[in-house]
Amino acid sequence: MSYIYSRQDRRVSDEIVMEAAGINKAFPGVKALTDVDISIRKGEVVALLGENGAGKSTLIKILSGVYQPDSGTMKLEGREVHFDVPLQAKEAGIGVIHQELNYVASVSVAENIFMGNIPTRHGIVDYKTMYEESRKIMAKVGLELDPKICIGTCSVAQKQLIEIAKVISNDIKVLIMDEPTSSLNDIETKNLFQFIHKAASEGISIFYISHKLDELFEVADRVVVIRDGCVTAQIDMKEATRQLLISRMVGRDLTAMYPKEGAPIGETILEVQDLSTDWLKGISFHARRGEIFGIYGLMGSGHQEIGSALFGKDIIHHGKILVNGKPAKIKRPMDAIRAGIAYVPAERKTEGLVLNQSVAVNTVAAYYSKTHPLFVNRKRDSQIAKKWIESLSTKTPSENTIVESLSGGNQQKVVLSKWLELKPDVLILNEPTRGIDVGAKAEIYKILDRLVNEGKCVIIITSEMPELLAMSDRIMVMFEGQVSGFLDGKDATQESVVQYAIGG
Amino acid sequence: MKQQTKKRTLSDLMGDSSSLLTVIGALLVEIVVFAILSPNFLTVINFKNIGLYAAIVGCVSCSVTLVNISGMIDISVGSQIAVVGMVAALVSGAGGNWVGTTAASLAVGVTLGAINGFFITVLKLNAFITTIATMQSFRGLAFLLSDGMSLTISDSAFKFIGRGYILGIPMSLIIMLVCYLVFHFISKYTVLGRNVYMIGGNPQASFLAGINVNSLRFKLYLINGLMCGVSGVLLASQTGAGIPNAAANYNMTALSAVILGGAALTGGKGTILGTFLGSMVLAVLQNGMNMMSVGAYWQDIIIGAVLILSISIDAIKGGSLKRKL
Repeated sequence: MSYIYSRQDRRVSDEIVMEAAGINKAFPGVKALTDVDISIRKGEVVALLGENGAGKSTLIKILSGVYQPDSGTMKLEGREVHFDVPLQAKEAGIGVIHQELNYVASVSVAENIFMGNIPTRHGIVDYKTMYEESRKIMAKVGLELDPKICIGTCSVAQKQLIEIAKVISNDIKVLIMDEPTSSLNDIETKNLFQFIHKAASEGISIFYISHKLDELFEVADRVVVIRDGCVTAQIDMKEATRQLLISRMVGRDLTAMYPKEGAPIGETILEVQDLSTDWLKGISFHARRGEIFGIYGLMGSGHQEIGSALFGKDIIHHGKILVNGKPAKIKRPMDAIRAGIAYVPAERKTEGLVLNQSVAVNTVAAYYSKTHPLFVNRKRDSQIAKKWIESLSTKTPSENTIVESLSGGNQQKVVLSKWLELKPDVLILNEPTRGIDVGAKAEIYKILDRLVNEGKCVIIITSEMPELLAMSDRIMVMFEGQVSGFLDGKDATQESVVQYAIGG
Repeated sequence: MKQQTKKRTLSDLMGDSSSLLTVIGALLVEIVVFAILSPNFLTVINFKNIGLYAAIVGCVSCSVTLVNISGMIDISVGSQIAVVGMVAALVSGAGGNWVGTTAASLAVGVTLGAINGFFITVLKLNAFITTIATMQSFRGLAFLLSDGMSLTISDSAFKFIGRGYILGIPMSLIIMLVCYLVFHFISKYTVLGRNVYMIGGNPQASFLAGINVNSLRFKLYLINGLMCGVSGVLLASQTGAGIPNAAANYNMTALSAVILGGAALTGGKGTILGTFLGSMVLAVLQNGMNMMSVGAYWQDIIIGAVLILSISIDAIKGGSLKRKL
């Protein structure tokens, strides 16, 4: 892809490729969609914007045949269509890139591309054809990879491109992308946008779903905002502003997305000297009370591993960690907890919560580890849980509700309460707002601001540039397991951070 | 808003006990059917028999439940019980009194549990594979201890443990009920019990919350070994012998009871009460079929069918038919 595609390359025609009218869908107890009308023209990129639970997922599941609408009609190129199963939508020319990529990590790239459709000759796998075709398919998205390698060794961005290649190899008319950039870094995101511009200029219509408002200004021609199952606005991107989009999305004006007031900076509370693990090489930094310390890096730079190293998840080869001036020997999470460190991991569902347990049980999990009493005290559990539900305004029917049924933002609040109950001096948050909708994000930011005002030290490890720039007092940038630079939060710009992130 | 809160809590509770309802239903159906078909079924003596029969495997089922809730598995319990039984017979035969015999037996059980625990938590081998291997080695050990012979136990004080009665109630039954009460208490009211559910539900998140996952898993294998010791003592004293090929099916019976009681082999779910009811379903079924002189082959088929029927009912209630995968 030597030619740089941009939005100017697109000529959106007036021909409507797909339209859905009067779509209604209800689940037991919830009206998910109410009279939704949506259409897309040839070569157009339409962004679907809405908070988690607004109905975006339900809508794309209906468009792609996973769900069937209770009422309403869908037309593809003027003809009315009805999808009973996803395969029919696929055959009609609708491709979907799901947020969670579907692949079998232990087999080759080619076998993943041809999964369920392996070419054979006389009943035996035809590897030659499979590898050749795989190369051709990957070339469509500008990917040059050996199709024989195991897909597990590819980066997330490569896996995603492979998935996209697989989908568009079926000669599709409409491509639906569900939060495609949620696990990509800035450079990979730019590459993806290149692909989107190119695909759109070639006449593919794209539904683009994302929480990241900045991206929409770059890729979308039009935004459809969905709130509580209804379309609340259809805005031409040329006329859109952040404020307008946010207010349509949450139904109220969010005067500040990042409500940071800041706090007086106190003494140094965490000092890391020459820390080395399998992923980190000689990291040194310090963080102070009242400070939000931001850590940024591209995927694989080791920035994610700082949290797990400081919290005793990885083996520390050498280096020193001082909390409050006292050396802390951290071999397992319990040591870090005793030293006054708390850690909110990046993967809420796999690392942060026991999903089939209640809000209360999850809230007191770390409290029990630290105080290790012999017996449980359900009454006290409930009191602690209720206190944090109120303090963080967690939306949950009760403290006995199973956390699995809460939304992402509220689950994150439960993880936060688990740690805040221990009154830590240092709170490390890895991707604090991943997969959380805009309204809940602002609430999380507000909580972080409150914590530094209580004199705590907050460390955020993030891949989201706006969050990093808006929230951090100081920024540390990482490259290949080493610190490549420190920036003052006030002076930092996207350019200066990326400059360090790509190695100087 | 208040009302809604209450409703949700109630449905949460129902969700938890839904497999309990299945197993209670199964037990009631069995009792009614056998009471109609067999005139001697609803008698005190018969229920004592059921209790005696259920006690040996019932004890070990308690700890197997915790192991399964923690997301682990132990299929070597039958072999462990056999080794314990042999040791009991050897120690008793060498002149040990009932206290010494029992203590030695329990210690051997704990040791066998420690061996499983070592491989699973220190070398971090897969629990299923590890206990497949130890199931065979322990069975071999049971034969080796007596060169394949059965050893008789003559100490009547030791035999009283399994055969005696206190106030007309069989000792075995009392021991089993005490075990269930203790394990019910552990699982519901201790932090150890709470943590068993946590590490079974999500080991990674539990580890990051400061729970020492491996140490807890090791403790569970020790406890499981101890309970194999208890079951082994009951077995040796009830039969009055150390029999190297005894207890061959006990791991499957214990697992069946646990599964009938609503535990998930993937961990994080299950109750001691459920396992108790599950083991009763199996014991009543076996007893009833014996009273009706159902052939041994048919008994196996029917026990398997009841197990599959009960988990099918749970799966369907959980919406398995509405899922595509």
